[in-house]
Amino acid sequence: MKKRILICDDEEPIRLLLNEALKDDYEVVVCDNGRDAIKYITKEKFDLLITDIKMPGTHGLEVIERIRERNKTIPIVICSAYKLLEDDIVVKTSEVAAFITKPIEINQLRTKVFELIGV
Amino acid sequence: MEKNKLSFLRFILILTTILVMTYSKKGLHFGEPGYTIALIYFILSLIFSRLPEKIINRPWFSFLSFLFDIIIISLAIYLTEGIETDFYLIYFLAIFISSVSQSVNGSIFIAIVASVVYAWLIHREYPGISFLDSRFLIRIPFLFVISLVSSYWAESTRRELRKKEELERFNIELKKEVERVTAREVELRLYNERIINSVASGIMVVRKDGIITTVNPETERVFGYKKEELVEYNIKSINGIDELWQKMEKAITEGKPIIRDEVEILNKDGERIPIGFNITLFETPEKGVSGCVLIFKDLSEIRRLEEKAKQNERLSYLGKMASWVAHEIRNPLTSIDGFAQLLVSVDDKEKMKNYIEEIRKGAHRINHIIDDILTFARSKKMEFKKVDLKDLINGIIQTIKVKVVFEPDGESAVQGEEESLRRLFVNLITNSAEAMDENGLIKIIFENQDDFIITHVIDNGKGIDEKDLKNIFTPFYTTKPRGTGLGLAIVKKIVDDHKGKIEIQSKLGQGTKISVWLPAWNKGG
Repeated sequence: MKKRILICDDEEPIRLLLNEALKDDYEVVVCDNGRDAIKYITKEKFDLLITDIKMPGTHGLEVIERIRERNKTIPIVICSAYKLLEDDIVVKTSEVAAFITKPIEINQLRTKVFELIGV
Repeated sequence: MEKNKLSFLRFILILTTILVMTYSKKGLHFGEPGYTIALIYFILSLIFSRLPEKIINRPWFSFLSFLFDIIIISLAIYLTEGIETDFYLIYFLAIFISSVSQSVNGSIFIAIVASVVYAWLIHREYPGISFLDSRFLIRIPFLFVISLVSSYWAESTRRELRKKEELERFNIELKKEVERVTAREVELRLYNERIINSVASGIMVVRKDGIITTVNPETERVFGYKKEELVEYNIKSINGIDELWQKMEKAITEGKPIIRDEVEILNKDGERIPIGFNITLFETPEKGVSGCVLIFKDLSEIRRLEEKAKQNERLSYLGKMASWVAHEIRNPLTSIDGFAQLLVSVDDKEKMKNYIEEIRKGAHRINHIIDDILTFARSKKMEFKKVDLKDLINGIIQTIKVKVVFEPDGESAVQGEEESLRRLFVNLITNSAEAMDENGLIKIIFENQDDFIITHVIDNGKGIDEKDLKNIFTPFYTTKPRGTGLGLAIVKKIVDDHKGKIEIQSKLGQGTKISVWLPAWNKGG
């Protein structure tokens, strides 16, 4: 059975891109806001979450905190255009497994995902 | 009558009495009653003369003292047996003195007393003498005549004197009053001068012919000239304030004040100083408009601060814009770059097509962002043509998914640039549409007001809270997670470029009404 990845980004092209890049090796579910992401994580089992941090409904790192309240183990990868935030987030939240900045290197993304959850 | 004069006259009377007594038939001998009388008379008179003037001038006192004179004189006549001599002439002297120093009534009474006593003395000396005797017929009436004439003369002299005194008093009062008024005027002038000098605004009064009559220290400071270099000089001869004089001349000739205007002057050092001013007319009921009063504020400091604020604003925009551009462009760029990477390793034609489509979408998105920036940053002059808002808006609402009520009637043509206006209304209407759910309704109404067409865009969406309403036109301020923050800033920019006006009224949970004023198209062009 394929491992499951939840992708959360408010930009449709980014969702499409991530889906296209990962769907051959993983079962990918997409949503466009933090609230939906929290709902998915609560109801279903996922092996990895890839999420943006600037999205409708929830603000910044709030999504990560609330997901952690519900699921302590799932690795989280942040995918954001805000490069400057990278260090801050890693320092503040040891909960974040990786940080990918936009624009995305597809191979780098695939390698990172493989490192975290295998195939 | 003055105390000294009266005393002097009285001593003449005493001396005359004593002299007459000395040279009378019986003569004046030490130890005799006459001598005693003369001595008493002299001493008493000496005492009288030492009394305070207040008492001496009392009518009853002077009356009593003259009565006393008459009695003494009569006694002297009696004791010196001088009835047949010229002694009686002293009565005349006594009556004369009495009449110059008291009222007519008083002196007549003294004359009566003298006559009675004199008549009694004669009668005592010559019992049975006829009243037709010359002593009665001539001397006594003469006493009255002297009394009347001298008292009338004295009275009129006194009256003159009083008049003169009154006149003098009046003159002194008048002089004092003039001094008081002059002092008050000086005080008032100083007071007014102090007010003018302490006003923080510049004040300048100029006559119709251009002669400067008043300036205050602020004027000296701003213009850079000393008061002496301005007052009494013609404003036309001062370099760098010609435009200001033109405005003053206009106000004077048209008889209309100029309120809140601005002009640049050159000060003495040739520096440009922006001033904000009011010109009011200087007019009097008698002469009408004789000049004008200029009241102004030096705007250099305000301008400097404004410039600084603008610069800060520009820098702040630049920072916000940089971060906005980075974020906005990075998303489509990620998509373009990502799909291009996927494209390299894909064989499926259908997939390829999809990826290329996504790449193009990303490129379009970037193009749109660049358009937004250019519209916002553009400062080129627009060429205005006739644009019918009815057609323009009809075109836009075809593409909107929300229900729109738009039933225009009346004039709807404005002066504007069609592309900009389309962008304006696209932004406004989509903005409203985004604020609504499936029950949303947008109403668009035109209204004609003076030379403007007002377009009201009313929605029943979620409304805007007060804090956001204040910043609604601020560039890069957005409440929508996916908004660019430029939509309404662009709207405002376009409205400003068209010299129009925009107003927003909104209530949370009830909806928003946006009204846009645009200059109406007039057939003349």
